[in-house]
Amino acid sequence: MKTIDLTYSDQKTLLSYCWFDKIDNKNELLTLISNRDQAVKEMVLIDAQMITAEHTLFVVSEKVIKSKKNNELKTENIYGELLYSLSPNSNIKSAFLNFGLSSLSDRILAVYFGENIEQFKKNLESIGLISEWNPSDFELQKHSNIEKLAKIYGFKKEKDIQDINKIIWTCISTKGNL
Amino acid sequence: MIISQGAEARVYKTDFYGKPAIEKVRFQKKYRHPTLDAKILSRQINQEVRLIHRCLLNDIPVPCIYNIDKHEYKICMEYIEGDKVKDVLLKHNGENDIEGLLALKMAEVLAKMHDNGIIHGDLTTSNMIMNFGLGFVSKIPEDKAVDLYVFERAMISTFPSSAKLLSMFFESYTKMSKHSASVMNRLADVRLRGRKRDMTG
Repeated sequence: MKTIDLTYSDQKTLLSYCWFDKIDNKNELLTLISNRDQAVKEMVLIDAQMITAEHTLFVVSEKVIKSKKNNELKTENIYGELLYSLSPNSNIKSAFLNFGLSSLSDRILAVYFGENIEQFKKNLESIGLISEWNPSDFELQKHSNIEKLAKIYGFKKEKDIQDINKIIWTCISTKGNL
Repeated sequence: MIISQGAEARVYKTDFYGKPAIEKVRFQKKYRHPTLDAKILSRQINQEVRLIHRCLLNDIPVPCIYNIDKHEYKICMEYIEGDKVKDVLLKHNGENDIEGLLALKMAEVLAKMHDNGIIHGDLTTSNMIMNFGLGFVSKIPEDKAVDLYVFERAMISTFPSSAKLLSMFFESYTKMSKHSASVMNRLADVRLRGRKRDMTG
């Protein structure tokens, strides 16, 4: 698990996140999410095949924290906002379907904002997410769904991965300003 | 650390979660009504990021954007290592190979921008890819011609002996841009009358 400080307007928020691969209980996880179970309420599970670089998480988290501080959330909470902000368009449902956990997800990224990291760890254990995966950006790119990302973000899938990352970060950070 | 300052904004070198970045902070203009000022600054930020986004999608080398803060009028973007066109020309003044290469590269980027309807609006040797604050989207040859004219004037005033470089630049632009014929025709008119259009009639 990694934890970093996000700073906005001199206020710090802790961002904790960890990756998991070979998920074998995704149907149970999906049931927990749809039932709004307490264990998954204070975190967000992102489909890791939609993330091509760790830096994407920092770009999107910075945007979410800023929206929260300025009372500009478009969704129920910061976790919903994280999924929404990953998507370049303003359709909340499609953002959740595209970036959230689905029955096709084999790898996931779990994210938590706040100080209570021990509780986050306990929650992860309680839903069966125990052995972490520590991917490099190269591994993330290898397992990412470039075809789907190209369709969503509007780039040509043949592009170099560095250019793809640049487009994704710009799409996320400029959402609502284009 | 401040790295440059213009009439509209200050640029600071910073770090965005481990990646070198710059923060462009637009000034509030005290002589403007605060509501109008906020509207103008917000619109300038929107315009700038919209053009950068469009450039990235069309393979035009511009810095990507990491964060926008419209409450503090800040844009945080990728820091690109390298010299400004102005500095390269000052360092290699009169070196034909380097000037030729530079003219070719500038023409390639500008032709691509114009073909994708991106007008820079303030092309000088100091802000070729960085500053889209005055940019806009247009397919009209007049706007592209004015863009070229502004660049030409900026080059001549900074480097009076840049005639050869400019001729190589226009030659490459004509070859590379799909709509160069109409733009170059229009540029001849713009040269005669200046960048401002006649508003009578």
